[in-house]
Amino acid sequence: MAATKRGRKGGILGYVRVCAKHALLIIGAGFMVMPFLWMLSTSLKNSTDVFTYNIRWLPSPISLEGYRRVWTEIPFARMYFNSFFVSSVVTASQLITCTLAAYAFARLRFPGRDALFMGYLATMMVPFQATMIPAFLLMRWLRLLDTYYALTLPFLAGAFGTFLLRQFFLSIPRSLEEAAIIDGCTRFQVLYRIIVPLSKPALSALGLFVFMFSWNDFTWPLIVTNRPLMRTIQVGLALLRSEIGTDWPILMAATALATVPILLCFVVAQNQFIRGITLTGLKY
Amino acid sequence: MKRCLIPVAAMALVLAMMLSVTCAGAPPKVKLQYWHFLGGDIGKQHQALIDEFNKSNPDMEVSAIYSGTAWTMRDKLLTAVAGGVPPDVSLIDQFWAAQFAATGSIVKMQDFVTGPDGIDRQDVHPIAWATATVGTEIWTMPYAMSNIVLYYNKDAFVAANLDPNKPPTTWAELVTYAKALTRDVNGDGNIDEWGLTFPLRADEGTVYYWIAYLWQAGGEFYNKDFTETMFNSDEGVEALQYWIDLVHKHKVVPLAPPTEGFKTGRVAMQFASSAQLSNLQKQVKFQLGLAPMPSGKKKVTGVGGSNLAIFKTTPEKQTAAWKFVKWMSSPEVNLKWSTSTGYVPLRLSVLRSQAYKEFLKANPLVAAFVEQMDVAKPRPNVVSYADVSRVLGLAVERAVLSKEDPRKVLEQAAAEANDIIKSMMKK
Repeated sequence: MAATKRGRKGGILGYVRVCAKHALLIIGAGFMVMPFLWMLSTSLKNSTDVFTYNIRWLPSPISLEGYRRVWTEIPFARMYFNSFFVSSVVTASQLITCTLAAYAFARLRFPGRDALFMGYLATMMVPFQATMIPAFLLMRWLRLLDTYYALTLPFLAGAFGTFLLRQFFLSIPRSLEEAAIIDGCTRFQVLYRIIVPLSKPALSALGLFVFMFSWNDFTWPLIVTNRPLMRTIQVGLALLRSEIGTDWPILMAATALATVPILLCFVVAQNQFIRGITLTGLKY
Repeated sequence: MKRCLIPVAAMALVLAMMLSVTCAGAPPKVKLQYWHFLGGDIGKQHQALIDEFNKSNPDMEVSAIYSGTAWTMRDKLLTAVAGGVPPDVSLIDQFWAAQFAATGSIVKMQDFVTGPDGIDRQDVHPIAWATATVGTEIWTMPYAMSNIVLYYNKDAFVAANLDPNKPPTTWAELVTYAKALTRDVNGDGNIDEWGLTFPLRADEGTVYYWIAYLWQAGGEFYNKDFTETMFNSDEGVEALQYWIDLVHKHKVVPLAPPTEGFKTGRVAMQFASSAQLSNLQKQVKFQLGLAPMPSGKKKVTGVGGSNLAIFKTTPEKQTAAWKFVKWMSSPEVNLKWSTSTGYVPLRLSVLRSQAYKEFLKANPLVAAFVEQMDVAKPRPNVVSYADVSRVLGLAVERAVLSKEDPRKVLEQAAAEANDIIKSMMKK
């Protein structure tokens, strides 16, 4: 809206500029949307119509075979639930643990705080491949392989989230907290009533990252689960691929369905982001 | 996002304490975990065999766990072995045998094969045994054996005025055919239909095909004792130059091949595994042709596929695992398996059987790759192969993509590979 107003003020030239900007954005959006459209188109074809000499964007006849077979060939509903459950638990847990840890690192004073924080950050430098086998051994030792514990436990806290939130908390003026403490707030109340409401943009960003990461994680769930009923959606998708030739419609139907929660997250979180930007704009 | 082990460990401990450890009574059946990577239609055939085994062996229960392609399963298998919780039996790619044997995690198959409950060794195809042999001993049981074949689009042959019943048989013919098949159909200056593709990635997928060319040129991969590589010979250079020429001089192989190009009709010939036959027959809309690999100085093709390995568990489970492995590779099951998939029979008695001969009559395309088994060669089964293959894969890819001097690239790769072998031998 603001852009259009400015465009009018700038007369014809400004108008052209706005149009050019939008044209560029539309082209960019087109490139982004294309793979999604191809996915949808392929998911609605039957197995042999996938292989046409020229790309056919509109499937004809439209076949829902892929969508039907997704539910019969693999325990798709269960895998979907598993992913949803695991990602939700991990996201909720990280939002809580990271907020608490980040607040401690940002505001509380205790001996060894900075060293501890550095140590915590250092864990971000260790690649997953290096900790995969020790973590697997740990799960085995705890007899948790092939359970939801194995899928969620290693991800209940995270250095990245702690770091992200700590930086955000540091940017909130101390005077707000001091005023609250003078009014009789405890530390927890400060966190709960002042810091958390002000940090919604950061929290929703973190929530989105964590959910997406957890939803898309592949190697760890593959390694710690054996029973088909314990497997997550990403493992399920991989199982639809085969070295002898992939059945594209069913794979694309499953992928399309697996993308829905992430898209929903973006739609929900996008409002938060925008509100976050206006909030931060007012604050400073 | 990185996981932090300290808080995890703490939380895990708390949870572990809350969990009560339940002890189940002794199971009435021997339960075996069997990991594999056979998906799609072949996976269904495979599962049907396992169901049949479970039905006819009420004292046993084999649960088949499918873990995606060979490469995704390899990570899972290696982690499980490192974690001390391997499956009881697993399907492994033929060339992993040496590595697993070296880690001491699998049981030598030789003891079972020649043991009191053994099998007739003479009835198994010698090439199949070769894929399972590390040094002088048998470590795995052959199960799904394939070789490299040339698939071609007969309709495209007709359109290019080539005889669809006379596929290319030599390196030179392959070039001539591919040139005729590479066309700019709509006249916009860009090529729309390509003559040939083969996998061009820096990994075993490419090396598997390239080795066949090395052998065809008359070269060898290793020296006799596997202490040094030999692929940087004149023959190796010739094989690599041939690939580079296909791409850059004759311009018949696309560097960025169209997705599923062969199936969509944009690529007329393709090197691939014989195991893909049934799937291709189902998916393509044109007349499908299948031919042995065109030969160079020698007529050779590469053998691929996967074998069964028994992991070290308990003597009771290992015996049960052998019972399962023996059944899976028995002539009756092998007949069913090879007639329902594109795999080559492992049992000579199956090859000679009336039932299989009738199957060949009904499926003439299969005959081409069954005959080809006589000139098929497995990859070297030594511990260093996987690492050497990675070095070579990068070299082949670099040479083909950037037109580098094949001799220089192979010399470098050989030097690097020999260092790897040396450091392995020191251990």
